[in-house]
Order: sequence, then C-alpha cells, then structure tokens
Amino acid sequence: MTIEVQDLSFQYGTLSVLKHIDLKVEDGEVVSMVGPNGAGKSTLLKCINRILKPTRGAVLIDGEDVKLLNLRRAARFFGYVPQSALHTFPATVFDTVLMGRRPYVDWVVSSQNREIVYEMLIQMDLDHLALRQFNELSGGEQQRALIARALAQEPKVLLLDEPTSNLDLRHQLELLDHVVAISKERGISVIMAVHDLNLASQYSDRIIFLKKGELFMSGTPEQTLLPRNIREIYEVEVMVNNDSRRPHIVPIGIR
Amino acid sequence: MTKIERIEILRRADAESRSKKLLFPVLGLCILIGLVIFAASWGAAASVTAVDVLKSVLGRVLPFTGRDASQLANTIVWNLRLPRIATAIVAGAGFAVSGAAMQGILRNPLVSPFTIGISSGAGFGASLAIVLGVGLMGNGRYLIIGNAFFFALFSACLVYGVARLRGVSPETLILGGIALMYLFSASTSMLQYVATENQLQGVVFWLFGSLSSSTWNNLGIITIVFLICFPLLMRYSWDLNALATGDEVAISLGINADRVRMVVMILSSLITATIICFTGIIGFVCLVAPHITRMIIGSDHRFLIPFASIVGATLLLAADTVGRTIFAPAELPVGIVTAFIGVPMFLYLLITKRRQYFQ
Repeated sequence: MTIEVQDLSFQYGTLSVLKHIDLKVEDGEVVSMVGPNGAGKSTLLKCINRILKPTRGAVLIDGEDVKLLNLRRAARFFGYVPQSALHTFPATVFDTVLMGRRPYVDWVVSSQNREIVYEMLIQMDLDHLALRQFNELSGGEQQRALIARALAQEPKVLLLDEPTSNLDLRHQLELLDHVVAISKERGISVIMAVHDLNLASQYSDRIIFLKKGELFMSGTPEQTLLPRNIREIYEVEVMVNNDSRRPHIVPIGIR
Repeated sequence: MTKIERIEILRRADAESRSKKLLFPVLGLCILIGLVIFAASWGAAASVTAVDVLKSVLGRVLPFTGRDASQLANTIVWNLRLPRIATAIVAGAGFAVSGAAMQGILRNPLVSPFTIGISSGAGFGASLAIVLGVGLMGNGRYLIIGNAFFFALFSACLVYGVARLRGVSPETLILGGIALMYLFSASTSMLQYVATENQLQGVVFWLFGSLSSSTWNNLGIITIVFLICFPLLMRYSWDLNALATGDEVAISLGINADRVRMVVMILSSLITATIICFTGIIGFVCLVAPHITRMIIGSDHRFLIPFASIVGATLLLAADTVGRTIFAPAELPVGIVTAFIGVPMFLYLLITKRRQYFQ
C-alpha cells in the first residue's frame, strides 16, 4: 500500500500553510516529519486524513484519490491520533478503542469486532486497564489507548501528531517501540510529526524536513540530520555525534 | 500469561460490564412502575383510592372481568390522573433524551435544549398569545400552543443559522443561543410589563410549567413526535461519543461531524418544543436527568440516551405527583418541585460518586 501526496497546497484564508508538497511513503515505512513550530506539520497530517481539504493537489492511496472516498471509506485507510484530544465525557478504555470500529459498524457491535478490540488492547499492553476510565490513565497510557483506537480502524496508514510530546523519557521510548513494532508487523505506514530530532533519528526509516510550508528535504536520518540542514531550518548550531547506531544531535546554541 | 489467556480475561470482563449496564435500566423501570401505581392512586380527590383505580382500570382494559368503578372514579382516573401520569412520563423522557443529546453535540455538560433559546422562544410566543392575543395559528388555547411551538423552533433555527455563518462549532451555538435567550426573555418581560393583572397571571403560570392540563390528545402528539425522534437519536448515539472527543477525531473515524450536530440538534429541538408548547417551561429535567444518568451508568451515549429517558420520566413523574398531592387540593408548579427533588439527588450523587464523571 503506497501513499502518495502530489503537489499538495493548503491555505487558511489567504495564509498559505502548505506549498506544493510531494511525498511518497511505502508499505511499513516509518516517516518522521520535523520542522519548527508553524512549519505545517499538523496541517499536512490533517490534509492527508481529509480533516482539512487541500486547496490543491491530491493524496493517492494505491493510485486512488482519497478525495473521492467518502469519510467512512477514508477512515478505513487512515488512523489518526491528534496532538490533544478533548474528554468532556470520559469513556472507558475499552469503549475508547471500540470507537475505532465505527468505520465498519453502524450500531450493533458484533463479537468479531470486539475480538479486534481485544487484540489491539493486548497489542498496546492495555488489557489490564480495559475497564478503567480513560481520564484516569497516565499520559503514556492515554496515548497508547488513542493509538489502539487508531489501530482498531485497521488502517493502512497511521498518522500521529506529536505522539510523545506529553510523555516522560521512558514512555516516549516505550510508545515509539510499540509504533515501530506494529508498523513492521502489520505493514502499516506511519507518518508522524515529531519535535525531538533524536527520537526521529532513532525510530524513523526516513525523515522529512518541513520549512515554512515547503518540503525542505527528505532522506534517511544519516542523510538529513546534518549540522548545516539544522542550522538552515532551526537557526540553531548543533553537533552531530555519529558514534551510536543513528546520528545523535547535541544542540550548542542559537545562531 | 499467554495471549489466549489475556483475550479470555478481557472477553469475560467485557461481557460482565455489559450485563451490568443492563441491570440499571431494569431497576429504573421497576421504580418507575412503582411510582406510576402510587401516582395513580393518590390525588386531590382523596375519595378515589387505589382500589377504585384498580377497578376502573380493570373495567376499561379487561371489561370481561366484570369489574367497574363509579362514574366519578372513572372520570378522575381516565380524564385526570392517567393522562397526566402518561404525559409526565413521555415529557420527562423527551426532556432527558434531548438534554443528553444536546450536551453531547455541544460537548458541554452545562447546556440543555434551553441553552439555545428554545424555552425563552416558547415563553415569548406564549406571552404574545396571552397578552396581545396575536399568533400565527389556531385560536384560544391552541393559539398559545401554536405560538409557543413556532417561536421555540424559530429560536433554534435562528441560532443554527447564525452559527452556520461562522462554522457550526459548539461555541457559536452556545453563545448565539444565550444571546437569543436574553433577547426573548427581555421581550417576554416587556409583554409582562404591559399586561393586565389577569394576563400577567396567565403568563407567569405558563412560564412555571404545569402538567395539569394534560389530555389524551396532547399526549398523543407528544408521543408521536417522541417515538419518531428517539430511534433517530439512538442511531446517532455512538457518533455522539466520538463527537465528544472533538470534531477532528470524529471526522477521522468517518463521521460527518457537522451533519450529526445539525440532525441531532433538530431532533432534540423538535422534541423539546413539542413538549413545552403543551406543558409550559419545565426546564430542569433536561439538564439534570442526563447528569444523574451519567453518574450511574457512564457517558456512553448508546446507553446514556435510553437510560436517561427512564430517569427523566421517573423524575418528572415523581415531581408532579409530589406537586399535586403534598398540598392538595392546591398544587405546586411541577417546575419548582423538580428542582426541589432533582437538586438534592444530584448533589448527593455528585458528592458520593468517587470518580470524576466529566472534566
């Protein structure tokens, strides 16, 4: 399952947020989007997912234009985890994940659909918390529950908007371990917006840099995470340490 | 633990929690039935006792039993008590259901259909008919009913229309509704200001709300509207869960958030407007019945909406029964009694319920 973003642009009124983005993501590939605040990372995720309608360009999934799918069909391709979610009326973890079956089920949830929910709960190590209230969970557990819900959609592509931003160090690693494992195991492509360059480096097959709504560059962590690229995008001086498995970035100061 | 064992444990826990959720509605129905029996055998005409009521009901429903009550008992039971009890049940259920649905689409535990100006619109329409005798349809009592209904829906449409101009977000709907509510309340006050003493009394009485003029015909209309709207609301109940976590999430789950919000708003407005044009403004049930239900059974709208209808029916029937019996033959307006019964119940649950049920 290949997902292709072709010449995608998006405007809020007259403000141009994304300009001519071209991107191709293969089966089971983990792609991190990095770039400064306001570079358009979240907007690109939402455009791919049809939450926002691109002003021009298209998103193709195996050559099929996503625009032509109805919302429900689209929801079977894309699982989305927002940066922050509202929980005015909390549900149990089980019901939260069950919601992911909505694209397949109208009202009566068959036992087959329940089995899928059990499976995802176990996959994300949430089975012991299934009947707890969502808002009683820790940040890391909540994030895992939201990913489990997205997985219950049985998507081809997982779109994550800063999945680690509220998590402590251990939970950041744990969460991304889960994400990468699922991606490889089920052949799900992952596109995530990330702020932490070292996490992006460690967990991604490919990194794309966004700058002011444009795709600045795309490539493996080794190809992209170079001091001059980071200087160009963030206006920050860094050292890149290549001793470990993946490039490791140490910030030095503001340019 | 192997994966198969973990799945088995989950399966069992899931089944158990689902069967638990069915227990409450059954319990609620039993309480409601008990209340109906009590309400039917108690009233201003103290001479009509439970035995007379039973005879009268048997005489009509199962004529072959050969039992029948006196003419007086028959009149009181069939023309006064039963239509009133049935109206309290349907109205209470309708209020609670539309309140729960409205809180769901607006993602706000403090709103009810009244927040978007339905009640003040209805109040204004009724006052207009009572004070100035002008209206759009019908005459006499039906002028008041028709006017109240029209202005209730007019207000809801206006709020929706205004919100449409800026994108139908919960915030615009709530703020637009509150603005209209003030406008209509002020207009009603102005009418009260120019009204004669008799008219003023009529307006105030209408605004308090009462079930005392319940008839089988009116009940029929309310019931039909409720029976049409309720299954439609149930159809959207699962989507309301998704909507509660934000429009973006709902859309990513394949739900057309704007359309769900529009349809649910129309249905709840229609239910509420239909009820209050006959009963006057009995507001509190809309707000408090969904909360009480949520504290008992949780926020899953698939269970919340049907169970709220039982809670709302029970609450309104209890309030009306107390209101008409406690100082009989004088009556306390049901709106006031609802608050006296509902608030302590609500506070009790709020204090004793350990977990937060909304944030």
